Amino acid sequence: MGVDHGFPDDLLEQAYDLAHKEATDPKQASLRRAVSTAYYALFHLLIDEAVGNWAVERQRSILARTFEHGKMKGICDAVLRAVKSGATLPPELHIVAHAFIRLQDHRQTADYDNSRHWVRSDVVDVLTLATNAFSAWRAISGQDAAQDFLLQLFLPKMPRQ
Amino acid sequence: MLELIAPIGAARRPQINAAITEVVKEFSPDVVHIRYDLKPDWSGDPAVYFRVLLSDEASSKPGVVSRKLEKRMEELLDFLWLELFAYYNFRSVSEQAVLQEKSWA
Repeated sequence: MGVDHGFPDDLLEQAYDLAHKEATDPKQASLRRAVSTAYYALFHLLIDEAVGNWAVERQRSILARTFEHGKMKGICDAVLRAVKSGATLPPELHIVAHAFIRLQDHRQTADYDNSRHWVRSDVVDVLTLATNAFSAWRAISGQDAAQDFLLQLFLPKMPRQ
Repeated sequence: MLELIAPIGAARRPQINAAITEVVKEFSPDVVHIRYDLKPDWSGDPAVYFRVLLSDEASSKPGVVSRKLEKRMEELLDFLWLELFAYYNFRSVSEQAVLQEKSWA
């Protein structure tokens, strides 16, 4: 049995379960919840890692509530722009940032756009985005670039260094 | 916001269309065709939404053809320079045959 990474991994597993809940003719409810759950899996993976660095354990849940979806998108976009500009960042961070932006939009569609019809192959592909992001993150989570990224996620503005 | 998007979209279409033509050719027969829309994403940022129709065989291996296609599109189109977020959705020929959605035809 592998290491129990907890809630984010359980969410990702649940996303796959939902995507395959019906053997044939998958329900829109299952597919849409799968997409949404995959996004929240990555969202919570990053938040958990960020607040896990906070020494005062009883304050972590308060910190976790300060994360804003829109701001996180902006930070991820900044990572992509930095890579494009030649910044030396681990390629895995690019994978995580890219996946986060994509999953976030998919989640918005899944949760709020009733006109959209999801198909299983599309949903499973979305889930592979999340899976790849998890693997990429775990490969670099201890590195400075990853830790700086986490700090940016909940700082209003990075101080000059 | 929408009035700002339309001019950006019109200017980008020839580049996007050229990239799609190239990618479909390169990825054939895995990729059958690609359709797209230019519209704001959930946060209001300009975006391009690609609908990629895959062969049943390509679709049976999630994340394989799709990731390569996305990477190739990024090589052909500098989305940051285009000031567009790029989003992709995929569907198999069989799934589309059942649904027959016009936007995927």
